[in-house]
Amino acid sequence: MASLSLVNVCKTFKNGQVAVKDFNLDIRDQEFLILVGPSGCGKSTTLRMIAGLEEISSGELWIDGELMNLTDPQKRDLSMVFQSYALYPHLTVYENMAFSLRVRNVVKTEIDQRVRKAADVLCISHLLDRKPHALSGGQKQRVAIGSAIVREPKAYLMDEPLSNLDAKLRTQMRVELSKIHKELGATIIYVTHDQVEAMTLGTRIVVMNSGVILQAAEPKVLYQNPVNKFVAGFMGSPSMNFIPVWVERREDRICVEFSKNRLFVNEECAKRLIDGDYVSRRVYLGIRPEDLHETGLKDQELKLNVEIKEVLGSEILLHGKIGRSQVCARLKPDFSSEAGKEASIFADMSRILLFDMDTEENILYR
Amino acid sequence: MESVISRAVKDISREELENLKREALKKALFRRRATKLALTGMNLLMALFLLLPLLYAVSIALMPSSELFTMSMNLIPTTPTLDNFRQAMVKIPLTRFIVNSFVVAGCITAGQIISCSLAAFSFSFLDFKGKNLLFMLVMATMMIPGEATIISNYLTVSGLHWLDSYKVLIIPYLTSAMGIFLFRQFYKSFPISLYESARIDGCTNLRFIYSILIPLTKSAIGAMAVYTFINAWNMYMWPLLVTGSDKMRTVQIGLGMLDSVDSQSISMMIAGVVMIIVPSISVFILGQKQLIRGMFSGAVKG
Repeated sequence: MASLSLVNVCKTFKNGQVAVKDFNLDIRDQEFLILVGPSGCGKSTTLRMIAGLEEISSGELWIDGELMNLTDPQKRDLSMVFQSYALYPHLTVYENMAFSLRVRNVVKTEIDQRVRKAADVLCISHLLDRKPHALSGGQKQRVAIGSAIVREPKAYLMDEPLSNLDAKLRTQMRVELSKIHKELGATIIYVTHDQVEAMTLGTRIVVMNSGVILQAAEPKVLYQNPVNKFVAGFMGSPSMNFIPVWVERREDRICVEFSKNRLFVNEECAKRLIDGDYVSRRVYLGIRPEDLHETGLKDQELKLNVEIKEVLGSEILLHGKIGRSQVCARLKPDFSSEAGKEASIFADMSRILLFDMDTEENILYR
Repeated sequence: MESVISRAVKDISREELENLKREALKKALFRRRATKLALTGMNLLMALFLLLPLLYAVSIALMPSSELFTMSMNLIPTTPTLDNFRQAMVKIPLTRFIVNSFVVAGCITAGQIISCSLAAFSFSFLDFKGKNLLFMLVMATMMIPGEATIISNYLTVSGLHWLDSYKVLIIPYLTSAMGIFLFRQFYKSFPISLYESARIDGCTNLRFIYSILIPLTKSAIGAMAVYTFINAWNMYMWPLLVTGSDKMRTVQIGLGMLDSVDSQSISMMIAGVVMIIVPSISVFILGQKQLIRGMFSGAVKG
């Protein structure tokens, strides 16, 4: 396995479009690193630059202490799993998995041993004689991963490998991928736009937007302590509610006010707001749907005009408005509420985030 | 709620229902069979109409001259004979011409498939400066008719002392802009992720072409092979210009030699035609599946 470093990496396409800007990142050995971001943020381009499929316009790529900018893809000793699986349709599963080893002139007995071992790990031993067209989406995905792992490369690159699978299979494959990562002790760089995949799989997540890294942190840290409004909104499903509020001093305490609602903030939060000179200014209040509860203190109460109620079985999602702001609340299934009526919900003030109106940075970032 | 069908079924007995079903099925089956029969009949008629000249040529080739030049309409020979074929073989060295044509057409086909597929691979999969300009230049050569360059080409090959040899028949046709264009179109529908995956797997470009691209574009190669072979087999102007001896003539020139003023025999000439179209028709019949598949690949999703 290997460690990788990207130093000031930039990618500018021929038409002048800048895909990646000043990308700096150290990827540690055996790390499951997730590159996440909206479509067109440069995550796939970054992965393709690491693989050698795209030239690096400027900057450096180091793999295990060796500069790799001009090294051909076949000499980087990496393997990649594509979104479209990229299985060779005229070869059987066995031949597909053995292909990279045959190209490298590995002896037949070793090829056989490695292919069968990988097939066992992925539970596809019974499919070895089939051709890709006779496989289901999930099976193709396993074969693609199998083709990658038989080579025992320095690192695995995965470009949205689960996005073609249905929801159930995707959940199943997520678990399998986690297991494989633990079993192989592999360095994996994984690209996705699905934040659930990012949160469940990664040991570290890199959130990108418009070609730059916004934040690189462990999933829990990223969720609880996002650097700005974009990251806070991107991580979590349903996403965080953002409400424009006024910061005011009332009864010698600091509170946020919006649409006849007043919420008092805790001491640490108040200190940050005073230190940052936010009193009497507008900021964004960020609160996650799961931090809005059915019960709470009177001074945390908010009146939600319910527009849509989504029953998910284990929970309900109430979509509606507080004043002019659109809000979503995740509540227990027995909470009584109807679309078109008003519901009382309570904000957990210890979990709120506040964002600067202009820079959109997290005022409470630690 | 009660459905329309279950309400209707209530009003009639089970037997009546079975009878109704049987009758409806019978009618549907009759309609289907009648349509199929009519279509087959029409197809057969059309095929006969289109094949009539060819079948009539075969018939004339088997007909003695005395039967051909009569006032009555002789479509089928009453006393079929192979004399015309024998005469044609004696009059000109047709076997040699056929061998020459096979050698020339075979080499041109192989050469064009190799050169055009490699060129198309570069235009489709590789990224280099001036790629589009170069491709446009190649395509531009298609705009110049062959007749316009034939004199300069003749002067070039005669300067190289290549006249009256296999070289002169084969080398100028070892690549074609049309072939490059066709292969490039086939490769455009080839998933680029397979190429990228192969490169990461450790493949060189040549290994990729040999192990992945060729097996997966068999239909394109088949189509190209049939198309090129038939074109090369039917070449007339260039072989006529650059070959002089019987040793190097191809069948199309040989056919012209049967049509000399002093020994004009229509039935013998037709026998010669029948003999030389057999290989090209055989190639087409053998390769038609590939040709059709290749020509329409990428036209529909599947």
